[in-house]
Amino acid sequence: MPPRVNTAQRRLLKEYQQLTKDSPEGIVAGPVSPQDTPYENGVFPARLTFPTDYPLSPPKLVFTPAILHPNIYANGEVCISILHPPGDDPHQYERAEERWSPVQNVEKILLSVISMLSEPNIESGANIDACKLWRDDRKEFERTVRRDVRRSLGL
Amino acid sequence: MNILGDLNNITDPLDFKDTKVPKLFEIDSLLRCHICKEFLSAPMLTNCGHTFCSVCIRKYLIHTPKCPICSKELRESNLCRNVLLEQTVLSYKNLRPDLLENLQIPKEIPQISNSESKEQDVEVIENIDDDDDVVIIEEPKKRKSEANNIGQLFKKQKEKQPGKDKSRCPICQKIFHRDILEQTTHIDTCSPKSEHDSSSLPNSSLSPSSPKKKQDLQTRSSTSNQNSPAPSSISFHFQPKEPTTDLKKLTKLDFSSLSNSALKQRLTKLELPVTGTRNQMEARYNEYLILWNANCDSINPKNPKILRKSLSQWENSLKFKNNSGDDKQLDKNSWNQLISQAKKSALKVKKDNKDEEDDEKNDTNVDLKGNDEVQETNDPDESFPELKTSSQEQFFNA
Repeated sequence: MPPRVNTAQRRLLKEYQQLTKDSPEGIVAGPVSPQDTPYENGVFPARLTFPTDYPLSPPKLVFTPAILHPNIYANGEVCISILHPPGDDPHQYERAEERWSPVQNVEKILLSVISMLSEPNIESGANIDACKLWRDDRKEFERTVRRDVRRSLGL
Repeated sequence: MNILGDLNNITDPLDFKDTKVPKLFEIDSLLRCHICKEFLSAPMLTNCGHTFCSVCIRKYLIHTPKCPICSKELRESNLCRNVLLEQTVLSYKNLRPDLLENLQIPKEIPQISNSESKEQDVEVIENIDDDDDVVIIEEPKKRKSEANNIGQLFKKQKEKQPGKDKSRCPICQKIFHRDILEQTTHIDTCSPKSEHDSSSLPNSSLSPSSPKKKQDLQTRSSTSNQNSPAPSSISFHFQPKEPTTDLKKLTKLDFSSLSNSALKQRLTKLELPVTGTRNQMEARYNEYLILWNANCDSINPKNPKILRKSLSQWENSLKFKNNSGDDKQLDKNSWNQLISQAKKSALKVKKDNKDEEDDEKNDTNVDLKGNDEVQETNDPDESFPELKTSSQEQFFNA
């Protein structure tokens, strides 16, 4: 038994190994921004923070810096159902089976983030301004996002 | 780094990806717990038909009384042991290293492969079946000197010299293609002759753990006893062992009606430390309760000493959490590579779309500004605007 490697760490190592050995389509070192969206080609750093009782509790995903998106809070925190534990439901509309459970994993989170980028969920918006912009002025929204993308690439 | 060093000890189903039977991936995944991704230990069946390690599901149910897979309501009292599955897992776990070793694909196809291509196919299939024929077919590639055993007489016409590309592993004494010895980690992982000796001899190459093999051994024990030197070294881990019933499960305590000294008494009775605050002692009891009760579900319960050790490991990991200030740096180079790749494709897309974008004045302005920034910070190490760099560091520290 290797010393000082607890359940959470062992499980994360396994997931890391699987992701590197057999990464799902669309994921390199992190998720690739989906094509045909304003986020295409962007490289957005984000931080996944795992609790010590992972996988019982979900990790937290924060984009640093925050990016403009209806489901990302102004502080960069991502708000999607897979990251919410089944216990508390602040918004009352997420189905239990979409929420976090220890059966989920990092791979599923990354895939959810990709789908979040291509299809924002306006009904459960985290960033109200982004929601409005997305709904009322799609062109301006996409322009702002593209500007973020260029900034993320240093262009 | 300590943790990354342990990467080698971590098994996962993808270990079978590059073997002759990649589909073993499936059975390897199925025998693992959905929560910890380890092989099931004391598997418990839920009333909705799902299975988890006893420890894992008990811990989960404390704060969410639902099945992690289907979200149906679930209580600890609904859990039911699954003895056959536990035996299956134990058997498979013992078999796994042998499987991996025997199903390895040699890096270079041996010269004999043309004439033997048919035979090789047979070998692949039969290896899964754990059929004895496998051994006989493999025999010619192994030691030549064992002409006295039946298997070899059987297939003698097919015998081959251990060609010049083969050599003997200095540790387990088996003969391998030289590339295997030189380029894989076989030597690091194989065990000394004494343990593997029997398995390199044809008739006794029954691994200690497979039920089918056990049957084979029994039905043909007369022949194999004559030919194999050490059947006594084969031990079976699961003599259909009935669960021990002398272990009593611990019960949950109503801490609110329990005085400090009474709690300490309980802990002392279990030989647990009584140090720390009241909260720590309660948490310690609760954690031990889970470990203990899960241990009662196992067909080979561990010694309480081992449980106490995992308990103290758990407590240490809680302390560890509090001072996890400095984290390891990720590979900066690969990050930069990612950025430059994305940059290239972005530029390419922009070229393609240039005509369309020409009318968007705002965009053009930003582009120019962006280009200025790049020129200012031409140094490869600082090719990003300041904002970017700082966030990048945050990312590395995550």
